[in-house]
Amino acid sequence: MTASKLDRRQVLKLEAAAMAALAGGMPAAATAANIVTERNEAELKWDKAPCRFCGTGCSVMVATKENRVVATHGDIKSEVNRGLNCVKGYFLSKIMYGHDRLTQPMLRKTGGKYDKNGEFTPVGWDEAFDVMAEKFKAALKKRGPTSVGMFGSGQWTIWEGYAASKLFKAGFRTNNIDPNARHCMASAVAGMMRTFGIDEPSGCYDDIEATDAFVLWGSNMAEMHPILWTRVADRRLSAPHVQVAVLSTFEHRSFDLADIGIVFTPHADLYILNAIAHHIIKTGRVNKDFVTAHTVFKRGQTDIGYGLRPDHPLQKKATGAAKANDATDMSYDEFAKFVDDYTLEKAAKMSGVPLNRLEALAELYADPKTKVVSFWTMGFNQHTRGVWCNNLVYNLHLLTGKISTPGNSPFSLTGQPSACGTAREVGTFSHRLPADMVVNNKAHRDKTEKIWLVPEGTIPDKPGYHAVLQSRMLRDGLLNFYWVQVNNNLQAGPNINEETYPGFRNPENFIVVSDAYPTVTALAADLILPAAMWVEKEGAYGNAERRTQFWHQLVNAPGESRSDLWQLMEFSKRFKIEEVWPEELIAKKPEVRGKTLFDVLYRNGQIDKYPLSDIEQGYANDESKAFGFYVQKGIFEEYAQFGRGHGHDLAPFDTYHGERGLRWPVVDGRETKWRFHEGSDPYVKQGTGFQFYGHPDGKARIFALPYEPPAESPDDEYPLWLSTGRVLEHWHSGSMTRRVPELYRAVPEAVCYMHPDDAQEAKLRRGDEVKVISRRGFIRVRLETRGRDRPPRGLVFVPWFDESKLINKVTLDATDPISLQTDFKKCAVRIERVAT
Amino acid sequence: MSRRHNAIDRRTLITGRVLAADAVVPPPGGEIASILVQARPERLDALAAAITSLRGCEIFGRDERGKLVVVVDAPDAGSLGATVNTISALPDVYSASLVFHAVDAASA
Repeated sequence: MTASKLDRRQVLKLEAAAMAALAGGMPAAATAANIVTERNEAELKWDKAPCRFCGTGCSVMVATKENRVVATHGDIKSEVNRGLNCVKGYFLSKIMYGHDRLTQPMLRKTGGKYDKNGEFTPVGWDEAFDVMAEKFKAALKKRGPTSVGMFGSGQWTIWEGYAASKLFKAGFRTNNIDPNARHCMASAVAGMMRTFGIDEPSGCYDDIEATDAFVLWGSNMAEMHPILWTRVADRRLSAPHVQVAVLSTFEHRSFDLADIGIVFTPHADLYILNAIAHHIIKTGRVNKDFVTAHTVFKRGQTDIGYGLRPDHPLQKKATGAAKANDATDMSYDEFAKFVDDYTLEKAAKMSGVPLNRLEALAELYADPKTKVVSFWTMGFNQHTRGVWCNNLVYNLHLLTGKISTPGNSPFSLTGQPSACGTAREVGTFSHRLPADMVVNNKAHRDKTEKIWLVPEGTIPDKPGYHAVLQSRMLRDGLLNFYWVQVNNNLQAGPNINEETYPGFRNPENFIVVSDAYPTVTALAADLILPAAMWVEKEGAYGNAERRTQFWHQLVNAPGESRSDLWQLMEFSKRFKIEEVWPEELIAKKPEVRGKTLFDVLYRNGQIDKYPLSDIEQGYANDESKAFGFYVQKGIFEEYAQFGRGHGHDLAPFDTYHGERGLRWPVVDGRETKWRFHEGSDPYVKQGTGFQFYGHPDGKARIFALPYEPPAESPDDEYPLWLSTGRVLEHWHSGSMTRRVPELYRAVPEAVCYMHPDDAQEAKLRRGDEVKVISRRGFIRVRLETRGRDRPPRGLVFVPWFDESKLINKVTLDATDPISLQTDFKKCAVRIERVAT
Repeated sequence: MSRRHNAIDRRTLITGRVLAADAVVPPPGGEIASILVQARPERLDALAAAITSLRGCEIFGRDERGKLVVVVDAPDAGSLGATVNTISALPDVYSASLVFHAVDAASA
């Protein structure tokens, strides 16, 4: 090129502006944008990839040059983000280049040998796998398959989650595998399964442009899902009749756009939800035709406990804990009588919300002319009655028939890029199998074993240890080999002071962590395996609206780092089938004798069916090269057998590399935007109108569920509520975003947000160093009384991104007893000034 | 790349001295980006002025229904992410979305 640098810079700026104008729907710029695209395509290699941060599923154009990502822009062809990116899209080009990226396996050693208390020492992959296999086999021998386990991720690609689930459930014959998505949307899963009998939202993002009202139940979309929020704001601003209601236990950035802003007392959401149902019934606005034809009523089990250790007094007291998920039939009249106690007046008293605001909120649902989208994330899901909250919001949409049609949509947002695609759809939970099947159902196990080509009886019939139970079992010395991939559970999990950290350092246990960076979890492990990330491997994610998206490997991973998929498959070569399966199982399929787990699970005639020549020209694929077949395609096609013809249909593998994602079920090449509705969902029979076919009777469940108190509430000793959460600048535990320099500097450390009057009463000032203390532990942190998060009196908010201020030393490991998801939003603390 | 990683112990878990600030270094070269800003329509003038006063920011387009196109030219990498966040935190801004972003703009 002959142009000077200055000229190039000017041109680049014009082009950047043109792209933004185009994305903003300012048409004059279209020609300029075309020039950009052409020029950029000529100079750089541009490819699509879904963003690897939240569950929105934005598509990003990624430019690579000399094996490095050098530029990104929002993908104008994407229906999700339409050319836009949030600030996280900007991290994408940098997350792989942190200064302290892990590039070789590291084992704790003293004097050249493994030592639990040794120093991390670089080792080769062979030595790493040797020690891993030795520790694994020792655990198996001592306590059997229940003593080994894995903690995975909603950031796993689809094939990584599938390979891991198959390795543990069929290969090692243990269900002790769970994803970090357990902390994130397990309550949404259980809510869907109870109400609809099938997982994942009925609607899609297209509802945003079609609706009349948005209700955010415990979701700060402005900061956590900014691209969807941009679409919500666009709808609100372009159609003046549209209303936005925002509910939270403290005021945050999303309140700026709110017509109805509601700050309620923690846990009172249960009361508000029932009161709205009561209001709908009392004012005669039940959609009777819909309710009669498409729903049945259920009385849910009550007094279900708090998912605490069995010897905890609250747990011993709970009479319904053992049957938390049960329900009995009831009639509409009985349901109406049940919600009769829940008046808006009482709800106002319980929640501390002015009555007129609750009335305005209830009217959004009750008014038959108003289409409603309900959005929720962690405010609902991280809740000791999170499943109930999910069920109760579905009640509102079902009573009014506001569901499965454009603009009428109860919609659970997700926080990880493949919480849906991998954790939920592949079924990497300790109780799940692919396509919504479960391990404690014989027919489901049979089907899975058939597709996996393993003998009947391979998969154990009891759910394994879930996330919180894994930490407890590590601590109790009953889970002795533990492999963590793509998550940072020592920072993200609850009550790490009493459970997780002692569990990691228990001398009986061997802990392996695969990560790209030295997180607190990695540094507390015994062996660290360096992982490839994002476009360093070929991948597939599924977003919150059932959209499956693929990307190609665009660059090579640094040093010795390898993808999680390679790590899982390569490790499986270390096991002869006789070492992991009992004789009677082998006898059912004698041809497996003498083979390795790799042969039985992955070189099984299905997964190794596709040759390397099927890989699209011009793209690297390190795993396939290593194993000699197109690994990703083989895994995907085996996996897709589970869902095709059963309401979870995925398109053929190759289709996805050419599309900006497709929303399943994909039938006859067509995606599905609205499920359960005739005309938009191919699984709904003609003449039925709606069919909630997840349940055999085709009907959705409306649940009667009461208010029950939280596990821990403020008292004299610990007088404040603590809620944890996130900030815009850092994603989750910050292992990636903390390595982007300006973000690190902009928000270097977590602070404790407190109401100024509470601070004044405690004689504290903004900037004071304080201790946040619970019954479990404490952290030291600076006090903030201003800024974007504004708690009401009696509540403090501390974000969890900061590894130097581990707020999860303070939180309580109480879970929803049905979903087993932790409530990170409620525990009792006191604040003390640190003596200076 | 092969810097030493210290194992975490009880003490570091309590003090939280895990990630040293010096582990975080900016990449070489400058950056160029465009940001689409959504804001209260009647406050666009004031907002445009506020954005123009930020280092490296220029307004390249405007839609009276409440949109601004901002181009950021950051000759020294290390301010762009913060700039996006600064804009999104300004009064009357509903959202600030990054559209185009190039690292090491001089050679892109």
